[in-house]
Amino acid sequence: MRSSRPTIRLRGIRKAYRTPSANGGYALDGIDFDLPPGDYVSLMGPSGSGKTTLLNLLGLLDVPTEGSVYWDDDDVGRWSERQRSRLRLNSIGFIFQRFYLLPMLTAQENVELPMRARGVGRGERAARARELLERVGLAGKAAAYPHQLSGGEEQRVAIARALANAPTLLLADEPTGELDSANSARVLDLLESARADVDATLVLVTHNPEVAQRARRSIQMRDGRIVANARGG
Amino acid sequence: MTIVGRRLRHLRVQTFLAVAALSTAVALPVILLSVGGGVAQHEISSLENAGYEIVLSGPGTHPISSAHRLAEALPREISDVAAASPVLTAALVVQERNGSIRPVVAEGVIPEAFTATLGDMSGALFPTPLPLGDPTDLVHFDNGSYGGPVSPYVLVSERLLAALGLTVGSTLPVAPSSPATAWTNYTIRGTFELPPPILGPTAAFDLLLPLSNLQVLTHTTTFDQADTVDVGLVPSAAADPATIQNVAAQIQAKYPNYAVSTLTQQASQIESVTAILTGFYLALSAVGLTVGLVFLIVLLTRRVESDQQNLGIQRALGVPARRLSLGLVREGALLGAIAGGGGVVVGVATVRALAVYGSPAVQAAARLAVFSPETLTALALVAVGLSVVASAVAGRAILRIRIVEALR
Repeated sequence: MRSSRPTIRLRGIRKAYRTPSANGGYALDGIDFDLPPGDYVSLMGPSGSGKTTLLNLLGLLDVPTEGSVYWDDDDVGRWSERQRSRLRLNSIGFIFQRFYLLPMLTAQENVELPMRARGVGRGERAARARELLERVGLAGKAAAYPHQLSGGEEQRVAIARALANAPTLLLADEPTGELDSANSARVLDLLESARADVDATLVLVTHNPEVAQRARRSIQMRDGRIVANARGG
Repeated sequence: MTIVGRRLRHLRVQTFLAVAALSTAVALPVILLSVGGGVAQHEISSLENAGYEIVLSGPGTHPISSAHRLAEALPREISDVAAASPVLTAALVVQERNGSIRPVVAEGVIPEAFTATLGDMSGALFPTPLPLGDPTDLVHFDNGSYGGPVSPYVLVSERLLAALGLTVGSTLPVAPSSPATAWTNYTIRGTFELPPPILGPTAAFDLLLPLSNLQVLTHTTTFDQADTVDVGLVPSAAADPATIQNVAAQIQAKYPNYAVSTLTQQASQIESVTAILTGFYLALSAVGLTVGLVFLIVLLTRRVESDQQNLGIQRALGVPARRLSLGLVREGALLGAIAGGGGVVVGVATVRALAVYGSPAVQAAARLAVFSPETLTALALVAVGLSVVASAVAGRAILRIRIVEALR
């Protein structure tokens, strides 16, 4: 039985490119790493080092070519897509660099989306969405469509959406990559306070050393391998 | 508003095109089946209301001989026969007031027998009794000598009366069409109405006169000729198809040289033809619906492809692929319902418009259209069904989406 705050373990992970390349054809090559509950980890490394691929495996968006991803003792590679979807829905919150809000839905409806998929009632999910939007400072933008929002506002809506189902694992892929410094700081503050509120695990991919320094642990990647794994913050 | 509704609104042009394609595919059978069915139903109804049940006919021109004797003998010899009405149809000419000549089609009948074999619908077109003088037409016929006094009366259609600018009581010179010299003056004793211009049993003639008079005008007195004999039965026999067949067989036995057909047989033939035509209409419609289906599959598959990122986002957030696929099916069903309903409305509106703005023949046919609620519902449901199939096929593409590639 999975605990509500699992330890995630990666063992012997290799992930092959769909088209072979110079690096032996692997985007990830021999990754072993543990992610205890409540941890706050930054993933750094040059482009093509495997950060996003690793994040995708952690978020069950992809499966490794070799090796296993464990949630506690469960090898999630053996699960069906339906089971992985359910785990993503209930336990994982994603924040993407390019926000990825659905353009035909308002800010509030975007936030409601994961709750809707989970079967939360209309009134309850509307109330929670409004509460989350208020928390990220966008109470007045609930009815706005994504194209009516600034980049910083879109990312804050995306954070509210990621928190909708109270996940235990937050995965942020360069969440400040397309934001100015003021908006970046605000987004990071929001992410960290959201993590702290429920003691969720936060894994944050970044190119920015200042952002990385805010994490408890910083993992450095190169050519699909972990080259440094240091406690900090 | 649901996500499905939002997507449809968001993709207005695609949605409009899909609905338009499927609506057109549904409208086509609505038009064909309603008008085709209506015309066939009208024709069958005309036969059922003809008043007579059996017709004697034969090959060639004016094939019936001894028409007066037949009209007398049939009711006497066969107990279920109420009346037998010989009908001679011929081309004549009439002289207008300015001396010009107008060709007309005339029918010669025995007044009493003719009236007795008219149904309610066609009977209402003629005055009762027919004011043509001798009701049995036997006085002038005079046992085949045509030596008795002529009844100098004629009935004209209201259409002809108006065209000639005459009134009841006027004199109308009538002559055989060839040579148009032997003029006989008739007195117009009354008028009759014409049935609706499509497929009426007494559609085109404009003059009605005693059979013996028309025979004299057309030189068909030698064998007392006619074209057909309409046979009406007593009410108890007319209501029983088996009795009708039995009477027809008796007549056939007595007059083996004539073709004896019942209106029931004719109605059945029309029904068979209608069934064949309906099958043809449905086959034609199936082509339209298949094209609509293919169009919809292509459109929805393209939509899935172009919407891959949004679908990938939803799957990344944990929305199951099957749920998204089901959403597409719901979208397809909604499109199908709109298109099905729209197609029915367009089809009905087109038929209504044709009834007003079409050519005269098209107007007449369109006015006879019958809209069966069951057929319209079935066609709308076919559209929904096809849309569900199309969206289910397209929905399979959602199951194949690789999330990480969709998010690139």
